[in-house]
Amino acid sequence: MKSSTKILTGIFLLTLAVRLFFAFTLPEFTYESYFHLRQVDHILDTGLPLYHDGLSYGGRELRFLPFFHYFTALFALVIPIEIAAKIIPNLLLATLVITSYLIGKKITNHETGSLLAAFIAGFLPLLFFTNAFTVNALFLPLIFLTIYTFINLQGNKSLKNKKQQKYLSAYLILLLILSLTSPLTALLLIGFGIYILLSILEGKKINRAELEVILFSAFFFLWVQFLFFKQSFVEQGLSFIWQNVPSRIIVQYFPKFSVGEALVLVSIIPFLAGAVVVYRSLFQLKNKKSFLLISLVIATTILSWLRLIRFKQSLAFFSVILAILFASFYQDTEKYFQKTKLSHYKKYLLPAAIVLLLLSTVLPAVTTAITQDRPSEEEVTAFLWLWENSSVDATILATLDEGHLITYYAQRKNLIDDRFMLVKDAEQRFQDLTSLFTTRFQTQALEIAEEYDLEYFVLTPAAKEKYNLKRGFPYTSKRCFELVYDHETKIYQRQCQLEETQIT
Amino acid sequence: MNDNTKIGDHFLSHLLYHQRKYLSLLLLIIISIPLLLRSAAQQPLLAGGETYYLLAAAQQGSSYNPLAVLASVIPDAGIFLLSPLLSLATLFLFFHLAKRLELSETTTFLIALFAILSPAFIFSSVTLSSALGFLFLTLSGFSLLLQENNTKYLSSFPFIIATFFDLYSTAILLILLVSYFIFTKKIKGIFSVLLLVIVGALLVINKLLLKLPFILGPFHIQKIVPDLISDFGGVSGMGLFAFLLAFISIIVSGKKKSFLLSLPLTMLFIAAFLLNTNTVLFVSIPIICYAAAGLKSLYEQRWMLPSLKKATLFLLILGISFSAVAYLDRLSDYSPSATDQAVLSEIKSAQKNGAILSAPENSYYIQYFTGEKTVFNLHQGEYRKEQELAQKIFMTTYIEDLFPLLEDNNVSLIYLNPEMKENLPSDQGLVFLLQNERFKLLKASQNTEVWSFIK
Repeated sequence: MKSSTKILTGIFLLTLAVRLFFAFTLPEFTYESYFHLRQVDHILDTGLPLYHDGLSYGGRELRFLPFFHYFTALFALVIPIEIAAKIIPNLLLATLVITSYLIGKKITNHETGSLLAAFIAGFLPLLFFTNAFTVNALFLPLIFLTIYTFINLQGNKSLKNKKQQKYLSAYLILLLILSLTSPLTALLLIGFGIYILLSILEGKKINRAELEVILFSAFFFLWVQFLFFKQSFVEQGLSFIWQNVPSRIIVQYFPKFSVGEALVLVSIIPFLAGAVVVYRSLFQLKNKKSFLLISLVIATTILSWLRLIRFKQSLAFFSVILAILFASFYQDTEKYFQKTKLSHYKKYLLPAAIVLLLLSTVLPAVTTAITQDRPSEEEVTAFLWLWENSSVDATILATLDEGHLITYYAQRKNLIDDRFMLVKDAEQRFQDLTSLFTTRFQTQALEIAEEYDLEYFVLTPAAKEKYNLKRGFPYTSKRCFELVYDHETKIYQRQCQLEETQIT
Repeated sequence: MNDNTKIGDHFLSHLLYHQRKYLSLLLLIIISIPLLLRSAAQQPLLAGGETYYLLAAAQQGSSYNPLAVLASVIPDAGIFLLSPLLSLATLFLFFHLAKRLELSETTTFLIALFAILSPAFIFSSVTLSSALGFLFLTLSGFSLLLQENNTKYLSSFPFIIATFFDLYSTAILLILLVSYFIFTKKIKGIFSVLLLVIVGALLVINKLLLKLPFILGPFHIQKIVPDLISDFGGVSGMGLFAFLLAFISIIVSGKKKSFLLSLPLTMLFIAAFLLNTNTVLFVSIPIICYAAAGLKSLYEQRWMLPSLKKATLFLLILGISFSAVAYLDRLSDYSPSATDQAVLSEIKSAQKNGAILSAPENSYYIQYFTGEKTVFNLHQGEYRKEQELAQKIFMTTYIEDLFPLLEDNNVSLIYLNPEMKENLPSDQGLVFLLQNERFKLLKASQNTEVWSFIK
């Protein structure tokens, strides 16, 4: 075994071990994960994803790409779903270490730089949500593997040698899976578009076979999205991009691109190194090898800046590219040291880089893992209580984040959750949810509750903090709201309804 | 592999040779689907704002629009056949012209196929559409004009009739005629000059005497992107894949002479579309031609990866077909419904003086079924004001603001169909304010309501 392979295996195992340590030490999953867990459960029960959800929003149509859920369901056939949901995403995200190394090696042919890139990719703070069971866990490793296979297609004009034929087959299979995994695959295709544009601007001749692959990829991806999201396209038109997120919270999902926030989330060293590499490649060196990666950086930046893509999702993708570009940065820095009078300091470069990376990536990554936004065990117990003690057709009020806890643990209808697509009154429901957590008037609360047939009101410590409620709902009088579950989390059952009275 | 290629080539040759039969059959099938679905749901067979505008005009005898004139002499039960026959005839005329202009079999096939599968053409084929009427007359005119014998003089008849739709289409006709006479070097011939003078004079007469609109329509609230790309929910337009294919074709053939020659007319169509999306059939013509050219060039090019070429072409055809199928599915749900027809026929006797308030796009069939005025008439030039007024009336919060608006517009009845009830908020705006005692529910049937407004 080569020493670099040993080191790479070491980084991979270390990343995986740390991730799994946090995943199993910290109980529960992040809020969004429960939606995906429920889908996997449904696939295990029926073989089909839950496209008509009778509980979410009191009953609604859903559309999403199901590959991730089928993929996890396969493992869940063998091991319990809660275990599989902790192991699989962490295992998949840890493989980014290997992919980043391979891409870094391909574009720089520099062993140490590529290993450092692999290390950064393994400990990116933005990807250290170890208790998240989301599509991103499959999407990110897949997209970088696709990029790696595409990079290997470059060079030979006809793609006729056996090795390239293999890469082509792998690329096509990965594209198929990616197209069925996440609409964010569009990032890759827009990156390809910018890659063509940059190549033309720089006078670089584009390989014809590459163009053919790109053209096929674009039409194939569009066709798959068209099949799955036809209804959303028709009903929402171009607003489909913003996923019907209510206007009051759209800033949370699609915030203004902030360099400061990006610096913190991506971590400062790879961010700055990436920025330097992009600048030098574009304006000084005209480095063609990293053109594709730079095109992807530009595509992500433009889409985030135009608020066409969720900020955190784009940043996750962006951060892995910057990690890979660190290989190029390290290579350039090493060369720079060799050329200048600082050459005798070259031996300190690697230890310095390791120390800096440990401080700037590992520590923030651990902090991210510890502070993940997830329900407490006590809160989960409250939702399980509802499953045992509420009527099957009851509708329950909880915060937006907790919407999936109602459908997953309590298995009851919720007022709202964060899947807004194809919900016509999402805006109104969000407004009513806010009113129910902020109003002081019982009549207003009862009116809204009656409209949605809300029977139980759940107030978790997280909800209290979010809405700054020191005691509880201000309108829950004993006569109208019976406190049926009284722990840190409180559950009220509605007893009253409004009646019209004649004023004489 | 060779056998497969031979079979494929044989199939393509057969398809191209018999394209007239196959494409006509395809058109007939495509037109029949929405008509059969609407018939099965007992809906009126015809949909679309322009259809009912023309039918109402035919009833009143108030329009010089050739389609309205034609509709006034055809029995009501047969009117639904008018557009399918027009579109079939237009297709045949296109085949005839393509042969005369020596277009290749492949190009002819692709243009005809994309046209048949385009929502803009499908919509025009199952509704009364002035644009399709104009296209039919123009193609008839040019088919006759291309004849070598005296038959060419007969072309003046369709050309003259074609000037009575609106000023924009007459101007296009004039541009086409001038271009044709210049390219064929016949601009100085007596017939050419006479024809141009007649069409030019009719353009002026239609403007000054008949007061024809510059562009007829719009008949619904315009949304540029969905109205261009039907997959985003527009009333008609182009499929997303055809649009992308056209875009690629423009990039690839941007410097070709044929593309550069088509550019001025394309720009004119785009400008008109931006002003009024009812001209979508016109703008779809160059898009269809570019898409056909794009697919042809993809097909004819030698690819490094032949299997990928086949897959890409297959995906494109599949994408374009899916857009058409998805559109056909939606088309059968367009207003008016059977309930609309039944309820509105009842209003006819109940309505006294005043206008009927409903969503702007419902106005035309309400006028046709009730014979009464409506508050909104989007096509009458003040489109923006009408749109703003609709917004004010439907979204106003207080009765103090709403009542003067209703009184100023002489509203006597309010017609709410299920679509309006779904789109308008129930806890504010007009729907909420209907609880006031000045509104009285006259009729409620299958989520459709008629309210009277007591002045």
